[in-house]
Amino acid sequence: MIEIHNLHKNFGDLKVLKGVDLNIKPGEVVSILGGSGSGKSTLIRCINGLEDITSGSIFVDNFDVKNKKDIMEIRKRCSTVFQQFDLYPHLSVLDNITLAPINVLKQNKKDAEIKAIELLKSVELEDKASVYPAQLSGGQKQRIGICRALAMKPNYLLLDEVTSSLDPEMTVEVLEILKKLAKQGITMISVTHEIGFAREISDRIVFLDEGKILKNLSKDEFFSDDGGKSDPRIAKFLSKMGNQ
Amino acid sequence: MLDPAVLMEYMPAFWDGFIVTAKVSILSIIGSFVIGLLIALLRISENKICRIVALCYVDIFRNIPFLVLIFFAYYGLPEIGIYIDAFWTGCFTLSVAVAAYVAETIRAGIQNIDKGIIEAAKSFGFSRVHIYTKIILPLALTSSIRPLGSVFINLILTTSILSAITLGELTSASKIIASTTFRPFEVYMFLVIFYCVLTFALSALIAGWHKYLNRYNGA
Amino acid sequence: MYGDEGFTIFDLQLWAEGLGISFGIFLASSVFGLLLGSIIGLIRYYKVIGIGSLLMLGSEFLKNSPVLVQLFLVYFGVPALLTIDLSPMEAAIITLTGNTAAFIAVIVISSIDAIDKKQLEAARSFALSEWQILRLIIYPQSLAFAMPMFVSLAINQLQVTSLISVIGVVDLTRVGDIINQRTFEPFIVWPIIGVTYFILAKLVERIGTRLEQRFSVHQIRSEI
Repeated sequence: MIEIHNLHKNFGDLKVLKGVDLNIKPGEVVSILGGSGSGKSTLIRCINGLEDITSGSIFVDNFDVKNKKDIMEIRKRCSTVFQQFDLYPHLSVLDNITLAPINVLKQNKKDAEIKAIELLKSVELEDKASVYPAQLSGGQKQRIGICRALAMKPNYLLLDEVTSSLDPEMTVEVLEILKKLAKQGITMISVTHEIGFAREISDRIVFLDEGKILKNLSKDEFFSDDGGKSDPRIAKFLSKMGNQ
Repeated sequence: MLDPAVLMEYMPAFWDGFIVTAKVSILSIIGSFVIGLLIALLRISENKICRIVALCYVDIFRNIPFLVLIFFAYYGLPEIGIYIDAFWTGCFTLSVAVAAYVAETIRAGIQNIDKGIIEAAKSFGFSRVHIYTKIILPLALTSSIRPLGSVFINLILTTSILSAITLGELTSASKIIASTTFRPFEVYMFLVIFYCVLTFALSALIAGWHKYLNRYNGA
Repeated sequence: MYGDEGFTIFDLQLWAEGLGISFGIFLASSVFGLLLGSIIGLIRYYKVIGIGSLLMLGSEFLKNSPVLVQLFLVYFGVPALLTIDLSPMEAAIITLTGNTAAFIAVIVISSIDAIDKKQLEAARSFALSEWQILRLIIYPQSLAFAMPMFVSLAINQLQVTSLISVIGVVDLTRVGDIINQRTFEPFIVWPIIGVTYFILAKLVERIGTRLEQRFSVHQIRSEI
């Protein structure tokens, strides 16, 4: 369970999040939508302590993000997939995936590698285990990014604009994998521009606007004309994104 | 008349000098690397005092001539009760002085790392030590092999200055050969060429090593 | 400084003289080196038959061997070979000029190479002469590009001047050695000498940064 209560985040004078309340239950798939500058990426970065929060609280499985000791526990439970992939360039694909399981979860190398190969098979990249990230396409890199996150057996998968750096063809290959994962019941919090994708996988849609939650609705309600779309700002956002 | 053949019988003496140069160089490369790495880490530390201390260190040792430093060490160390010979004085001073350049090179390597990669590592719950030992240092050091190589080649050339404190290295040995043979031109010309060949060979080796260790960047 | 009975007022005078010699030789070798190095660089750039590569090979030798050995070669070696006389001061200026020129030549070439070739083609298409291209297009831009490298070279060469003490020029380092040998106060003498060099280096750095800014501003103006 992720519990966010009255979260504020400032960067200097700039107020990015202005009182966000949000709960995410195990098994839920939640998409966070919003224009650029709405604070959606900041929100996801606050959850595992990549940004210090200004005020309010975040608890992940009752661990407090403001407590330095708890942050490590939270990070073990939440794995992030990044927009720019951010794979470790000096390590092979296999080592990229096993580095955290071996060093953070203290798994033994053999087990971690067996698990990694399984994950690579699930994204059809088992033949790339020994190559370096620079030798992969963007879509392949992001599939590895997903494997790297899943190898931690996270309770929560945080997806930070995972397809924004990909061309349409590669976007499809990454989204297919995420759809499969959603069906397997992994809890996912996804910040995205892909409204079609959000619509397909989400249980719930949260719409952020200027640092506040404008709507927090089930997917069906959000996309119905008398639900989310009744709000002019959301209607405008959806039409701008080319999705009615 | 130019007569290089005269040098042949002095090759053993020359070789002895070379061995001393090699020993001082290797020990000082290790020493300066260790100290330099430490200074680089202080230089990017979150503690302001650490950063200032490291900055002063770098600034001082990059702006004072090595000859002045070596005289200070050679005459000064015995004054404070440290009695070491020219060899160890040389190793010590070279390590301390060259560390300033090593530190700046490593720092540049660290600051060139994509911040996203470090954040990704943080997000997976790595400890600070692991982030440094598994991510930051391997990346910074592999990308710095070539510039570090230049620093160390300079170190090797600088060992010649140790002849001023009577260490019997290559330049010292050549001085003696020059004064025994009365052939200073041939001796020093040979020495210049010798140092050049040595540095060219090392540069080539370093370039190859750099390419090998950075192969992950290639397609 | 002369509170200790070992030191005399003449030490202060000696220090000032040494400082003058060090800075004078630094200036002389920098100016001569800049001229010589630029000429070598240009000869190389305009591919004046044969000599260009030969001069660059010479530069490589000077860049890749210890300056101290070069000093010995010039001060002891050359007079012995040619049976001429060379004072320590002359040998010092010749060696440091040559050494500085070697580095300058390499900087000049890389700075000219950094200019976009299309600009030069454009200039030629407007019927500018090669001399005009050099003066109006290559010179201001490559100077702005080279300035930071010149500054760090200057700071480095300032320290290199200390080596001339080894062949007997009474520069700042030699003065330190003389006073140290007499008073045997290494903890007073060498820090003073070191700080003097440090301040000189900072001065050179300050002036260099000032020039750097001026030339880069000039470049921006000439582009508008």
